[in-house]
Amino acid sequence: MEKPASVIHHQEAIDSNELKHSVTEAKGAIADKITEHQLTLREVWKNHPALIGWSFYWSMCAIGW
Amino acid sequence: MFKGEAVLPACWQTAFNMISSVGMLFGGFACSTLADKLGRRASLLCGILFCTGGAFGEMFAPSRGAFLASKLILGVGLGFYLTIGPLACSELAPVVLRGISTAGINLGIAVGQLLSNAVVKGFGERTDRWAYAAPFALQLFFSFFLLCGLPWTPESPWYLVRNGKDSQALDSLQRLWGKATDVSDKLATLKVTIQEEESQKESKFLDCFRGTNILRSCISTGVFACQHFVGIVFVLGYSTYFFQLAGLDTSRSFDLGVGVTACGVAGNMASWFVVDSYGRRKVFVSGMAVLTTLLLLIGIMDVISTGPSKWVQASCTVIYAWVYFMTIGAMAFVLLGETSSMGLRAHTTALATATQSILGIVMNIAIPYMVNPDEANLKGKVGFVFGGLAAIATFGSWLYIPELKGRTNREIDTLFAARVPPRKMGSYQLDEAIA
Repeated sequence: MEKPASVIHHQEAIDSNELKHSVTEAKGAIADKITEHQLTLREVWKNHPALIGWSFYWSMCAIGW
Repeated sequence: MFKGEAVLPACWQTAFNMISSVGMLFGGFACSTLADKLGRRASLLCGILFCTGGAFGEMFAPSRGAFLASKLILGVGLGFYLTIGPLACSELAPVVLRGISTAGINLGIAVGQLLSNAVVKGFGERTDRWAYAAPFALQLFFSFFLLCGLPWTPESPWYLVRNGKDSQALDSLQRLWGKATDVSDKLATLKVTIQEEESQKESKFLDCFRGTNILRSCISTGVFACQHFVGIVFVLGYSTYFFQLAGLDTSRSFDLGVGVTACGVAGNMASWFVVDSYGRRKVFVSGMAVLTTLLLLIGIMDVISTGPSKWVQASCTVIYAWVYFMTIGAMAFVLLGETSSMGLRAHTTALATATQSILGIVMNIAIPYMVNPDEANLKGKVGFVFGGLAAIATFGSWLYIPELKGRTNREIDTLFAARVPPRKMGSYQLDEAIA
């Protein structure tokens, strides 16, 4: 039995949205990759000190060993 | 009592030395399972509870059996610590910080050893129960430190995305990168990488031994095997013995032993400057080669057996500590944090912890039989045994240690999927479309 036109149209809209979402994510991942490669240690120290602080916190788990 | 003196029977001494490693074995696997199910923060809380309970048990144990059980519980907690630390560091840190933060794990180990040696030295002269209880109490300090930070530490964004909690992952990324940073692209990277890994249906423990994951798992565990093949238990554990052979009295040799540990701390700090300048592969393989040479030198000096040769042996242990902590000690955790796939990182880290535990047990059993005067009595000639093992491990390192400096997690996945030989990964040019 064929699907009604409204169901087919609705499914195509969902597929289209998912495709747009995937393309957006892929573009975001590519942009992030470029940013990540350009990031320097000095920038992390100056602009993202929480990253250093929390990395240090987790690495101190090993003191207990 | 033996000839009027209180002594600890050898069988109990061996049991006390080994039981923590047994606990670590189970703790590592339990942590990897809990970390994937409940999150990294919940796993750390479990580790803190185990360690706190074990430390209290050690301090107040009324019998040898109770003390042994307490050490087992503590060992489980240490297995949690040693698994969750590298896992969380590698997940939180960006590419530029990843090498330094994972090398910091080894710094934690070195600082812990230094502090425990210092406390034992400081309290060892006492005649009351605090002579042995104080070092155990020190462990509570670090449990307290970790507990204080736990309510505020962000959960791993990788864990949150993998469990469908995208909005919480966004919050976590925002807390890590700061309010001024747009983290939507970083969330996209996490989702794309996880989708690619989930398409290969990798999440179970046995997946560590399937396809290209078996190479990744072998590298991740092999670097810790290399740490034992270079005789770390022998050299650092018997450094005070070499100083006594060189003519130093017991008290001074113990002070120098603390100094050797301090060299290790300094060496690990030096690793921060070489890990990204020279790369993981060059530092690791060079370190293996130098340590092999030092081990063979310790053995040769024992054959020569003159006054100056004993000083050379003692000096070699100091240089060994510096080189070990700067090179393979630090790089092993860096390579663990980069080589394993994101989907299997918890399980792979547990395998690495298990490797350390098992080889630690083997070495703690074997080395006394090689060194003790009433057994093989090899003394410094044990350097030849570990020198031979280290030489084989050095060749294996040259073949299999990859250079992953500056690579993102997706790029690393691509390199292994394309079956690029590990020794050529540093110079391999990835096709932009594929990467």
